[in-house]
Amino acid sequence: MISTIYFEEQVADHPRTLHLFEKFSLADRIPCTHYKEVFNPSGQNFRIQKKKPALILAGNSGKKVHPVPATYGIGGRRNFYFSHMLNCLYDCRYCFLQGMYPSAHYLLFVNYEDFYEEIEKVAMQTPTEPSWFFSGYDCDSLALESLSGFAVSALSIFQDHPTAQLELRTKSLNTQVLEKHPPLSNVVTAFSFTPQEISVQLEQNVPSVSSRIKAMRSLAEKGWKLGIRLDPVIDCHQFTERYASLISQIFGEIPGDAVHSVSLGPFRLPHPFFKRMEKLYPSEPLFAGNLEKRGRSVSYEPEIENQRIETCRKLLLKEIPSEKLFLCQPLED
Amino acid sequence: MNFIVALQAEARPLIDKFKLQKSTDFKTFRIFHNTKHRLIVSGIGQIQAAAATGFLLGLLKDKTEALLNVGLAGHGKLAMGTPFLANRLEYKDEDSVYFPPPVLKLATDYSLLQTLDSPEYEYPKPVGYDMEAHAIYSVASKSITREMIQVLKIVSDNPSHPLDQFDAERAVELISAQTPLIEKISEQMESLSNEIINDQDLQALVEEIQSMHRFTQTETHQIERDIQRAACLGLEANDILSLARSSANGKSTISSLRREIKKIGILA
Repeated sequence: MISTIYFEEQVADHPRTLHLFEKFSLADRIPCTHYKEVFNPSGQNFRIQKKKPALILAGNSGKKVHPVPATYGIGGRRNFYFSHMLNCLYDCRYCFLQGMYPSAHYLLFVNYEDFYEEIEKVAMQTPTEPSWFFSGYDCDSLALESLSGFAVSALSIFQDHPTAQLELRTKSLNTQVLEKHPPLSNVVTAFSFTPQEISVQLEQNVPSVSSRIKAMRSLAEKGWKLGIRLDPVIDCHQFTERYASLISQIFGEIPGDAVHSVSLGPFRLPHPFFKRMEKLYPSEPLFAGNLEKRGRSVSYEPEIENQRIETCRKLLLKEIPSEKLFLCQPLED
Repeated sequence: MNFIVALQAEARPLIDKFKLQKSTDFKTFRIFHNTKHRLIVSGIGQIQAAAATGFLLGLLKDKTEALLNVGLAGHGKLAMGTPFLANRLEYKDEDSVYFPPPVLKLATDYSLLQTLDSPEYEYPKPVGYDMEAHAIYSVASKSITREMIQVLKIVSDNPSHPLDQFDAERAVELISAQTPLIEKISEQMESLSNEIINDQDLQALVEEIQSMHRFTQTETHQIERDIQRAACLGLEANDILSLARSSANGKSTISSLRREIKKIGILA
């Protein structure tokens, strides 16, 4: 799976680096001084690299925990995100990572302990108020777990910090780490969905909707709290029928009390990211369709966007109480 | 597909393999080509290599065209005749290190490659040594997508068989033995290039429509993208042409096309 590993010389002897060297013993190993030498140069083509991404092992020496925009969240007042990994196993055409990063290589920061230290510090700022930590912004939280072992180590940290709430966001069926662990009340595993008809068009390598629902049901049976993320909501033919079918399929199989939260988010991208993605995939119907620039973002026309979100909101409120439904609004217009 | 080699002896097997013809249009560098391939002989050393790369870039139509540097190299570890793809290119202690992205699917050796100002006789490290690759990559990566620039070297000397003098016939033999690999690399690079290159039929349609009406600079870009959008949403080329023909000017062509796109611009 991984045939090339770049590694920062400073993490060459890190136990996780050595473990990955052993795991991918046939991979070509290439030293670098700093990951930015490989990851950041301009003139790389994300689309081509996505066909055969390399793994970059590095140490993150900068700030690791960042505040989440005020309009995002699932009920908490204090929301943060962190990225132990940049880039994703999957290839979703709407994903902002394609427009944000010059490279499609998987960049793994091996110094997890430094992330945990910062998470603990932030959580301890308000010992009686929960702080939410979102792990799936820049990667899928579970898809590369067999490589990173991140979730298994994070669970051992979060179980000792009950006011620190963790969201693992995923499209993966790779849930063994959770299946084997006693459920934690401060961890929500959130699965992202678009209707199957959209998924097959836009989400390459992503497991089917039904198999993800099956994985969710299995986690629910083990006592894990679940999240459902309809974000981004994608406009399409037979929109209402498709989203109604998706929502009914999910709630037909997942017990309501296992659902911690559902969030809805309109399709939107920062304009510069959109331009890069459009250039990478000029023949992609999603980018050729009825989108418009609004402020510094690209999104559907307001009327369409509002209609589609409202349709989903109504469908969801048939299944869950309103306090479990959250709308992730674009920050800028 | 473009090749850059330092020496005529390194070029010969490729000229034979791809049946390249010498171009008479250029005097500065020796250039050989057929309809699909182009080869330039740079001469030895970084200055010659950089100049030839710059000259070659001037001949390219698109920055997605592929460029493969083929040549001989010393190596501190690999056996004579072993081909390897460079995975890290260094020059002296300079900070400018390049990492040709590993996009090719081949079971071949990879190695770090140091570019030097003079031949290496001591082979102090288990790496490759040449005199051109860093300069080629440095210049080419300013214009060509990095994945489309690769460096293939064939080991001509190592600690067991140190370099004493250049033997042109030996160079031909070493490169000739690797022409199947070079062909495979070439095919893979062309295939990647084809994925990101502009659709030629669509480009012809754009040019035809741009010639029908006057477009401002901004409108020229807009109509190009709108034609691309309309085509990928399923509007036939003939329908796009009809729209343009029935429009009074450039601006109204764009408006008509956008009205059509609005009707069909929803995901299936």
